[in-house]
Amino acid sequence: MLNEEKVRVMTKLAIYEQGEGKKYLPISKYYRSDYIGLAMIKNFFLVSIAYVMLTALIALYYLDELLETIHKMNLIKLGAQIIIGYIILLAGYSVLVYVIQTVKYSRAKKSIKNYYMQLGKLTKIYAKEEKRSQNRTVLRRDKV
Amino acid sequence: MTALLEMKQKLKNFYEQYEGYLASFLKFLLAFGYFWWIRTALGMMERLANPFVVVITALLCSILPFNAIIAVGFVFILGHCYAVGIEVAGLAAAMMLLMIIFGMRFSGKANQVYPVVPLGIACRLPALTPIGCGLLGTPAAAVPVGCSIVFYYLITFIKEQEMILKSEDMEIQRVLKLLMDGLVKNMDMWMVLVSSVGVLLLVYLVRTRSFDYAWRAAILVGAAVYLFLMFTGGMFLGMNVEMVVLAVSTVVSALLGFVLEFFAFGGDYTRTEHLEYEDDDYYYYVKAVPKVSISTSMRNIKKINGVSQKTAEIPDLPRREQAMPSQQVSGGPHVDFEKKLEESLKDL
Repeated sequence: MLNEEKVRVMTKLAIYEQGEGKKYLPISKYYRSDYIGLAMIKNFFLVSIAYVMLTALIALYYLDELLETIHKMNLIKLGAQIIIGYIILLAGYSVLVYVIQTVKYSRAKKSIKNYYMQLGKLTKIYAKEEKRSQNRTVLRRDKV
Repeated sequence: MTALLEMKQKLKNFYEQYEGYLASFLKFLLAFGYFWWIRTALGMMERLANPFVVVITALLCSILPFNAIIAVGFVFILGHCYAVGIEVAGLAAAMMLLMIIFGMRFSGKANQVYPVVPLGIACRLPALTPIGCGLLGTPAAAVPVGCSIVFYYLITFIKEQEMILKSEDMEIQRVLKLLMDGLVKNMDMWMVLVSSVGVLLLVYLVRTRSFDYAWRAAILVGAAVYLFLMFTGGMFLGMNVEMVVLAVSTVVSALLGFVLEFFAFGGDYTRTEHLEYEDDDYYYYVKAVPKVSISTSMRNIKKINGVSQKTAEIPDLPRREQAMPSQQVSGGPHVDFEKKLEESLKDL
């Protein structure tokens, strides 16, 4: 016979898994530090690539001036400026990513709480059903 | 007004009924519009400019996730730019990557507005998208709106300079310098960019306030500020702004904003309730604005004719009632079910 309560809980779980859960369930598999750490590493590579591209574009734009004045330029100072710019940009974006990912992780945890509660309910229902079926088999054996 | 509300409800019901098909159809329309705009704005590569290709890719995008429209649009733009020159395609690709890394990877769902912006500008309604995004979206939409405006002007500049860019005596460095100058020194672009982002944030700010008619005030303030920014910007930067066209387009955008408000927001401020209560920790001052709701009329046509009541009622009865033989025909053979049941139980 169908267990209505079980069907109700399973429907709720399925709705969550196909809706909001799609976004939050993968996040919940990570520890907070792992999740944010991975995002920071990804951010480091992305910002580095973008900075190299940006610097190359600026260098290409000023290529004529660069070629004309390169012998007069203080290259160490220029290098230091480029590195300082990179550190500032990386630090800024790292802070931004840290804040965004922290908020995202805490939202996921909050959202998933109800899902785990429903899962707990479902486990209890299964345990009850198993108990009942065991009792039935014992009764049958006694009759036999 | 009642008729309008009834129509809104009917439209809502219709959308709910066919949500899957309608969402795909709307996606197709947006993708088609966006790809068609790219085709007309650039259209240098003949294979990609083929209307058949545009329709097929738009159809594909209608069943794919929303971001597919943006990705396919990027591919179209790169293809057309490649037809002009590899340096142009390189710069376009670099711009895309920079836009994604520095901005669009953080704006998530708000990126959906990206293909709408060029369509709004191409339809001569540049104020519509920032007003609409401020009403329906979050401040994060400012990122895709800004990126999309930059790309719109890059595309129009490439089209304008197509002949120069295609000439063989152009070196890579000169091509890049020309394109970057065309972008960075384009005051028209900066004016539209600053006005659009400013208006979007302002509309969002006013719309989220708790005073009465905040949505309508947001639309009016947004339209007025957009006009003001464009006018003063044009004056100080020495740009030739067509004031009549700008005013008309802004008014039309504001009117469309009201249409959007009618469908997206349904607060009835005349029935606003102010509640005040407290618990152990807080005092609560609550303002509750009821939603305007109207139930669509269910019209039943009752036929009154000369046929006797008994014969006319039977077809209208629900199946369950029809299945009861004692109610159907009064003169039929009487069956005592209780007796039959008792007999069958005895047999058992």
